Amino acid sequence: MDNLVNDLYREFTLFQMIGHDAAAFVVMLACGLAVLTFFGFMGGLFTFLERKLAGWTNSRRGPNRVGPYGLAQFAADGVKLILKEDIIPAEADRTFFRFAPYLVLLGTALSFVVIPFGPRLIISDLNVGIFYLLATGSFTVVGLIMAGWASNNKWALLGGMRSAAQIVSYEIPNALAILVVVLTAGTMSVQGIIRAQAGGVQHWFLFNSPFCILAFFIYFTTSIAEINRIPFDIPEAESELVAGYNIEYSGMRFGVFFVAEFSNIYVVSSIAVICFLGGWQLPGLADAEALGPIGRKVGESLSYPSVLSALMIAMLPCIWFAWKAMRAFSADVLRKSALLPSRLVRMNSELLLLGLLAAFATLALLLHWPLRSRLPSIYELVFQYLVPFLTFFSKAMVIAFVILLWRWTLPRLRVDQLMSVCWKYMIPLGFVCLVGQGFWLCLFNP
Amino acid sequence: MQPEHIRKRLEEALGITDLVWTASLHGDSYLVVPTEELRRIAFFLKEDPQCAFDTLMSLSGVHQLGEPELLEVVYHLYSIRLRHRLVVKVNLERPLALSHFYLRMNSVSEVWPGAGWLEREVYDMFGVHFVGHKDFRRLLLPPDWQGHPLLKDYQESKAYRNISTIREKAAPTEIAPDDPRISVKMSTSS
Amino acid sequence: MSFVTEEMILNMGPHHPSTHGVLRFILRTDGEVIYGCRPDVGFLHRGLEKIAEKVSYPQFMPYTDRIDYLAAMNCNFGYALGVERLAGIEVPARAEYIRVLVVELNRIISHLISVGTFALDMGAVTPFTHALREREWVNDLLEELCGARLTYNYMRFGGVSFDMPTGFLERVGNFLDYFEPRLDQFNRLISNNKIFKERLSGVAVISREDALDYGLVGPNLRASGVDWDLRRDEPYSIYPELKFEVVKPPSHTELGDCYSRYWVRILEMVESTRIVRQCVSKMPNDSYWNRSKKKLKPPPGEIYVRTEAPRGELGFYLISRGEDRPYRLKIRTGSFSAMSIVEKIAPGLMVSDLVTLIASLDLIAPEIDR
Repeated sequence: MDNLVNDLYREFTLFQMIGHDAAAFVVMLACGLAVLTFFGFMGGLFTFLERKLAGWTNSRRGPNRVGPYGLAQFAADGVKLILKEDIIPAEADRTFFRFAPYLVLLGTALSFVVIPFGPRLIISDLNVGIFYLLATGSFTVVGLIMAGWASNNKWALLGGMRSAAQIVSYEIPNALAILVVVLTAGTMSVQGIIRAQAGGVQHWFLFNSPFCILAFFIYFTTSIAEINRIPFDIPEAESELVAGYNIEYSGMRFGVFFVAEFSNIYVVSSIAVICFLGGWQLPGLADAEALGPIGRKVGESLSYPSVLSALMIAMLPCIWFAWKAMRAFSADVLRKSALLPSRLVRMNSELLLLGLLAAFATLALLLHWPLRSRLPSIYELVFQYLVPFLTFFSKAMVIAFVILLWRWTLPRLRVDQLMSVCWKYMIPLGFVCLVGQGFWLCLFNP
Repeated sequence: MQPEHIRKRLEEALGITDLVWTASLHGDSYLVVPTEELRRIAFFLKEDPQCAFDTLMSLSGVHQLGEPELLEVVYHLYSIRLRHRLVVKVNLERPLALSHFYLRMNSVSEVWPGAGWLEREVYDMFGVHFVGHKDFRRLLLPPDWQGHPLLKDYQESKAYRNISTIREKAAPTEIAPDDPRISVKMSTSS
Repeated sequence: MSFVTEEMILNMGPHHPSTHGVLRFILRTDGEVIYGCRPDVGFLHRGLEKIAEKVSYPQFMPYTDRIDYLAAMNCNFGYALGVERLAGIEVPARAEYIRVLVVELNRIISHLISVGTFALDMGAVTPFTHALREREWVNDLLEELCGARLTYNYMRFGGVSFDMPTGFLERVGNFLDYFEPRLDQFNRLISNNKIFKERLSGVAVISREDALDYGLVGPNLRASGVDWDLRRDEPYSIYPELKFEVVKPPSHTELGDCYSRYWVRILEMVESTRIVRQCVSKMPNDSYWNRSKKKLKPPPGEIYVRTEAPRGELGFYLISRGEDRPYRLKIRTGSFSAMSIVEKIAPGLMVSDLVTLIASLDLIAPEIDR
């Protein structure tokens, strides 16, 4: 973000007018807003994805009413939660009751500062990035205990206590597994760890040594315990505690807990991807030069106007179809005569999305005109920004898919079994990995 | 073991002579025992190796209307080891007043612990007190309920905690014919 | 240095997603460990025994469905058997075979719900929905037969109310062919899962003496080591002519713990499929209801008849005084005894184990409260 501030300060006189610090503040706000939007979007996407996955695992469909294929379900849920009555129990501690969800949200949202979406898409590449991630993950515990205590409810208190014990215990093997990665990479900076895995799939830390595979397994399991998912979801065990520490929360306060939990899944998957699966690097595509002469020629012929105009021209028939389909749909509903055969009516939501994409392309074409000299080339945009982002996102999605699926397959562990797994199995294993990896590095990577 | 043998064995071992064996043409035959001897008989029936009634199948109360109005407590016993069953009945006279003083009998929950809850239910429904029961209170009905429902002359009280127990016939609600909230015409004749 | 801790009184209240009906437990716990547990029942008390004294014998049949709505055919069966024995009514052979067929099908679906909700209480949602999916087949079959999916009101004194539609037996056979591999799939999904085994093994062991003393019946009793099944040891209807095994808890489970109770139910489902197949193959061809035009007035007398319902022995103690309505009807259910043993077994368990215990005893509130 520092580079971005400096570039913008140099380029635009507007920023020079308000001064460097104010410019930094504005840029910081903008980046924060963008990342928080992404954070909210991730939370919503995961709630939808989980319900769909749950449906298909349970031999039924998930939500499929609210949008095309049920995609707008999380928006509908968000609106519903906002409109609900906000109940605070009479004997509850009001200040802490109100504050607790935001602490949990803070613990999750702060992690996004060091999560990279690309080689240059990171808010701040701290040189203690991984350490910072482990530290901010502990905020959640304070929020959970606060929620459990402030609810003035014995079941919430039980849930909060269990959760505190669980998260605090499982942070140790979590940190040990990450330490293995830090040892291998030699740096705690997130981009440094990712760059240390450059050069193809065989250089990913997952395949570095058997101790690293074990460390991945430990990290994966303990991070599921950190985010209170089955098989470690004793704090919010549904059949025993009826949602544990968030029993008394209703409306948007519960929504905040909910979104924080689901975004935490994304955070934990992305840390796994950063540390073990090569981050945003696409295997086989070290940089743009790897595409060869044809690629370069294609890349040089691309420019914003050409790409966007091509998009717009391709979308024009789609816009027409979408409009016709909408009319036919509404005509069908209002029982007037339909203009088109019914096949297109069934596809109306897909065509609507295509139409929206075309509208976005037109808008982008219009808006980029004044800035056309300062934007990076299309080529750079795709290969330095879009492809790494998509790579990172899809790798994180694969891990998240497994995490989501575990919830619907496995039963939960009892509290004492959970603690014994942590202290008797995970922590010794973590130490073995750490020491073993040290020896491995001495022997094989001088 | 046939019921007559059990009765003889009880007479020999415990010296109780006023056991009444009633055989019936349809259904079960039963043995009526005096109320005071029930506890000794219960222990004997469980521990005697020839009787060995280790399961209490059911414990129920019956309010028998009739010439002597009786409250019977019926025990259905079964032996898994020896595969025979027995029905034991105890007759209590229904008093006109002070039933909590007169309707008392010994509990068999020391002999068959499963009788604990069954006796609580008999108390709940009939008002029979079981002496020697460790946790004696109502089972199914709320603790402040008045009366014992399964008695034949049970009258429900008019209200329970200010909630009326009598169903009033509700008057039909009046709807104006041109109420804009209702879009379907309904016939107003009953 | 020793800690001084206080006991906490927790209320595991009637509103509870633990899927066994409206039950309430008042717990005295020290942190996670339970020191005392008091069940509070009566939320579903509908006064069925009092109602029985007011309605006539045939009119009480729908009420018996509601004693245990997950195994309604079994309740119908017990009541019909009791009244028939008291009144001396003969039942034709076809009716007997149909009765046993639907009773065993009902046992299968009742156990499906039992193991499904057991997995649900442990946190695994998928086995529950899969069990419900299997149950839908049988619900459809029974709906073809008698028009209802849950509370059937199917049996009558002297037979059953409707004959089987054409092709019904073939459809039952199709269901059995579909169901048996599904049970293996179910076992691979959850019964042999390591976490599930850890949760259930060694938890809440009920010894043989305790089980007999407290009057436990059915799968609970068999899992504690008592080899007792009413269908074999006190047979009724056509069970003497059918070949089936009484389920013993498998050797890899500890006797009397929750895991053995769970496995006994799974194995009982297998046995029930065998019984249904035999019924399908041996179905005779005579009448389905020995209907009499006279109003039913059994001669004076009393009888206690018990049948093997999925939750244990269901006993009907029926006293008749020669009228057209029972003089006294007492219903003795398996869940009642199972609930009375919770107070004894619970101290020493953790709160999560209490949920396991309740689920493994297969309690259902309407049976306890009637």
